[in-house]
Amino acid sequence: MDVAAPKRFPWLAVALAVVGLVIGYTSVVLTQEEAFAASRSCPNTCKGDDCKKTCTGEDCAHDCPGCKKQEPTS
Amino acid sequence: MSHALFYRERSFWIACLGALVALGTVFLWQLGVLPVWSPTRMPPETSEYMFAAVLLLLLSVSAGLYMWHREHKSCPIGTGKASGIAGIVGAIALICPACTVIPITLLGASVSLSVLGPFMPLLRIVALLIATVTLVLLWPRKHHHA
Repeated sequence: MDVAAPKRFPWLAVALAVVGLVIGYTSVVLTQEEAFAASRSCPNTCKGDDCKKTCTGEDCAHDCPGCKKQEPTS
Repeated sequence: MSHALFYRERSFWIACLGALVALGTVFLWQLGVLPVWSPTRMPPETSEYMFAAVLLLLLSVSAGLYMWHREHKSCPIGTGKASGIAGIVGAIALICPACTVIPITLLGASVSLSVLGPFMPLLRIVALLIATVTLVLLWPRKHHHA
């Protein structure tokens, strides 16, 4: 009976695909300032229970200047 | 050994369900769904839930097939490591970049994950890519040699 050679994970092919993805994605995202800013998640500068979850984008960079107060959940 | 019978074997389901519960718990904790302390984060988006669900499914089935292959001594080389990498990258991609509490607490350094923020979608694609390739490789063929 023929015994097939053990299959191997295609590391090289996956690595090449990942490199392609990184180059493609980086060239798109990093060259578009708006997309770059929009994709940034809120840094951990929003303090306090009232506002820490509602800051998005650039508002978050400076202690939640545009932070909306969260309504308490019942 | 028929290629279609893996789902009838206990080893497959034990590993599959074990991975499902373990990874599911981690992912739900990361998403802030579990009613325990979790890192401060913005409310998860629908895409994050979908990504977590798809990755969870891929990794769980891969874990089951991995154990099934091991039992039959036919495990493709490198698939275990690839699954681990996919899981780690996926977990990183689910961390809220704002949650600097974790690296600060664990590493004692003021390392911020916020620099990764713009690259989260990329990390998710990479995690799904690796997990998909792993599953395709692990999926039993008709001429499975036991």
